[in-house]
Amino acid sequence: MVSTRDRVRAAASGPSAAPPRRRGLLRARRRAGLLMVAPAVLHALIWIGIPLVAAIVLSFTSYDVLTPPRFIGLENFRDLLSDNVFRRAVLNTSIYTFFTVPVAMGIALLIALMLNTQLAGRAIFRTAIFIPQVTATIAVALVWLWIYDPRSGLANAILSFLGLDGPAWLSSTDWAMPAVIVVGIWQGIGLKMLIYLAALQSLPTELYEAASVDGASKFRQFFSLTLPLLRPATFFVFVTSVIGAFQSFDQVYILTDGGPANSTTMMTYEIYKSAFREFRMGYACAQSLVLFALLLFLTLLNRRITGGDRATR
Amino acid sequence: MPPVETSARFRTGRIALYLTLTAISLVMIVPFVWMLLTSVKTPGDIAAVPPRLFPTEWAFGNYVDALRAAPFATYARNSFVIAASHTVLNVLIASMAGYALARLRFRGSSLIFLGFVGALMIPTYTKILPEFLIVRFMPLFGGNDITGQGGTGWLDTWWALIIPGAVSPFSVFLFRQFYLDLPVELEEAARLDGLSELGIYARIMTPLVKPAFITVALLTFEGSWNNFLWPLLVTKSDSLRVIQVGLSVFRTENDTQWAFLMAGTTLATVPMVVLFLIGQRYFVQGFATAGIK
Amino acid sequence: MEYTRRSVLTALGLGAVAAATGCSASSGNSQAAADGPVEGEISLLTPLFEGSTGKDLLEGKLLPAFKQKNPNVTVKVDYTTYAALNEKITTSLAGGLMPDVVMLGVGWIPPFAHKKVLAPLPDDLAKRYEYEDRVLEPSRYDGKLYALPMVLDTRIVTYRKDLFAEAGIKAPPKDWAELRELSKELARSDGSGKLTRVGFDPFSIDLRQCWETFLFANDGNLFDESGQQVKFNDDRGVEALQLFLDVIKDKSADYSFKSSAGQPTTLQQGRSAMMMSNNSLWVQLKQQTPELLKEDKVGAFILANKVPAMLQGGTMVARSASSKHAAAAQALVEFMGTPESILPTAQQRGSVPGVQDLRTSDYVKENGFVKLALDNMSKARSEGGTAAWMEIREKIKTTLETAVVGKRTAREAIDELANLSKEAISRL
Repeated sequence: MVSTRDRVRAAASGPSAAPPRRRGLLRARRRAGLLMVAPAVLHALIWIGIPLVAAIVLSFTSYDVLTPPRFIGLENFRDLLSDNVFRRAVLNTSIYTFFTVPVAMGIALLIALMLNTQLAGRAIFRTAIFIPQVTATIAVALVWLWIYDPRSGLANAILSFLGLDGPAWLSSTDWAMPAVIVVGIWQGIGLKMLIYLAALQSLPTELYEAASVDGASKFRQFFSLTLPLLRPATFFVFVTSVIGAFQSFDQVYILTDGGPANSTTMMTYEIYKSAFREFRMGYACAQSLVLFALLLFLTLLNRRITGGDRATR
Repeated sequence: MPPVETSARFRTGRIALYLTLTAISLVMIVPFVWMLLTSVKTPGDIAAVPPRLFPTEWAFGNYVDALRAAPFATYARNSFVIAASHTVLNVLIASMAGYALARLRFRGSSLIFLGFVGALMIPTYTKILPEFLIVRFMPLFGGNDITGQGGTGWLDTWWALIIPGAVSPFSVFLFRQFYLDLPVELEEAARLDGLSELGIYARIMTPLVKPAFITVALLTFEGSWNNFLWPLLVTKSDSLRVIQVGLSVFRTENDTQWAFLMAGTTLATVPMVVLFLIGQRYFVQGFATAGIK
Repeated sequence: MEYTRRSVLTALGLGAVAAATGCSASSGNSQAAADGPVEGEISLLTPLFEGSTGKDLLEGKLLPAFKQKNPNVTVKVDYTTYAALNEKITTSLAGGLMPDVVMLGVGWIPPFAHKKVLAPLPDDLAKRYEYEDRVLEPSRYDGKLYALPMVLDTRIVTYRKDLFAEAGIKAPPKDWAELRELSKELARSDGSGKLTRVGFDPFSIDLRQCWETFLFANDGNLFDESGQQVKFNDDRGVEALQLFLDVIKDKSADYSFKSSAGQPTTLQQGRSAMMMSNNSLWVQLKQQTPELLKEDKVGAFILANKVPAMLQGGTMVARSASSKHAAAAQALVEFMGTPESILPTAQQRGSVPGVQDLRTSDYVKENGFVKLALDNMSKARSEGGTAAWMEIREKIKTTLETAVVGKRTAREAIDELANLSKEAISRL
């Protein structure tokens, strides 16, 4: 946001000081902006706005779907405070996010840089790395379950080749979470790589030509040119990845069912269980609001600390 | 530095690059390859202990049998119609919104942007019940009166399958980021030439962010093609069911027909892979900036 | 457009937002009587016929037969998978669109009957065929019959006859002391002391169902008759959980030693000598390892300690209380409950047909596990029994697992579960 604003300000030198013709232009621009954003906003208001309002309202009720919601004040939130499993889920989700997001982002950026070159067979590599994104969940699940099998699995075969005694991965309260994290990283790389790749394509080549003329090394070019120019993309990838990781569901659903003994349960998994297995819609909404609030806090914090996505050029 | 040494270093670098990429690619495609191989195995091979990678007998007939198990042509057509509609609508509406949020300043645009990011933070399982109820109580549709009572609204119609998922905040956000850093001089020059704001968006700026369009199009199509829960919830008629729901005929509570399931899943996945192969061709260095010069 | 009183009332008070927040039309249903004419279009929601052979059976055979008897009724089928049944039912209920006829799992009847979502059935349907009392138990609530069993699935102990013979064991264990002893004898480890075969694998089925089977075999109960009091937290419940800890301590079982999806079970692989199992394992044996059946290497018995007991799960068919065509819906429920519908349905899933008359059918005679189950239906016990079951059932596995992985004692885990259950019941 800020970068646009700065640039527009530089161009228009402030709306109040603008001459009449410029002011008319600015008004036209505003109107165009509103018109262009309107369809998306309208759609979001109906399909996300109403559900959010509904979730807020329902979080103060007891609603089992079979009978109408009953107002119970803050009881759901009080129950949340003493819900050890949900507290565990918040902790697990945070750990999962803390480890998957940076690692997957780093690997994705590296791969995107490697694939952003004139490399023979580039198309094959790109597709191969994107493939987890389109592979059916069931196939992903079965293969990873086999990899983690304590006796005949690939993971322990490799470890025993190195002379190590592998754990019982998914049945161990200590190792189930790391195992889930590895799958999370594996699955997250493709999408992030794709976005980085698209962003790299959109970088202006003239700047690189100028840098080459100046004799800057590739290494320096990356840190002083590419990385700063990628800031909007990085901000996007980071924010959406954190949100995605906080809502991760599939990995846990297919690999561990939240176990053993809640060691891998996640917030969305608890929300799903409350809502659709236990028929506690009101409680699930209260849980969702906690998730929502946490994410909102993290995103705003991120904007504060990093100054958002201002591209430095 | 003598040129010979440079080229030798270049070559070792290349080899290292290829080795790294090959290793990573192999790790990524294992489940996909496993799915392909399972789809041509006999039940005996699938049950083999320890698991065998290659089939002892190639059962290509699995594909014929799997296709015969359900009206997959209808399911595939439905999925295609939904995915294509989602892609077109999303690319169009989200890119306009992303552009407006990135380039056209108006009061509240900052808040609207934050709203879109916030919209991403509500989990699917929280939204799904209210969304279902909006569809079901849609006024004046499916026998409903103006208050949304009396009928079934959009349930079991194309509306329910297409409209709720037509625009994703994710895409609006992505487009905004890509429009954000285009040079302002271009925009100004076009404005001086008397181009309308819509014209600047469509003719000047959009060609510069084609990779973003390809990305959103690919992701939208793929996400919509693979959707399972929502189409299952809002449809009842077999003629409106989609491919992922159709594939569940091979999985029952007590028994899974793995070979057929994997054959069907392969047939559903291959179009996505081909689409990606085609789409990624447009990711070429310098492609985007060609328009600026 | 038809303006019913309810729709006008709704129009006065509630807009679309109110509808979206769940103030739906599902409330205030009058219990429709089923004595009208048998006609109209009714909907059937089923997780049972979702497979391709199931669809053929339902639409090619069962429904045409129904149509012949009831020419004025049209049935619209809504297929769903078991995994997504909850989501499907939840959204339909909230939208006030409960299907006329619905198939539900054991344990769902009390909560749904309690909230008056299901309509009671005439009592004489319970005497129409020869049912074991235990079979109809989960269909009843508050003294009334609410559903008819379609297919049953039981939890039994399967074992390898060849491994028993190898170890010189003549008969399956009669109680838990013997079970523990035999498990020790049957377990094998490699040179480094790592288990290669467990004597007993209780973990290949869901831990909740497994513990329940043990609880019942220990003559325990989940709840009292009224469904208001927790009963499982006495010694019988704790001992049931303790047994799992004991076999792990004996090194004759291991929590990581369980069957995984898409692979033959530990019993089929010879990696366990005894295994808790669903009777549907028979079908899996026939498909994956037919030689084990041919050479008569697999047997089964009913778990016993203080009493013999097997856990009975299954799918029941019930009628919605809000059906506009109550008579037609009831006709379909009655039709789905006949041996003519039950037998082929059970057959396509490897399940147990819950009517004793079918003991002599070819399917039952040929399927060893189903036969064992049907012969022992008097020892069947079901989970549930409280209107708070939906909530409690989700807590059982995760809570008991803490003991199995050694984070808590059996007593502590059971006490925690009892507390969670009491909270859930108090919320009713």
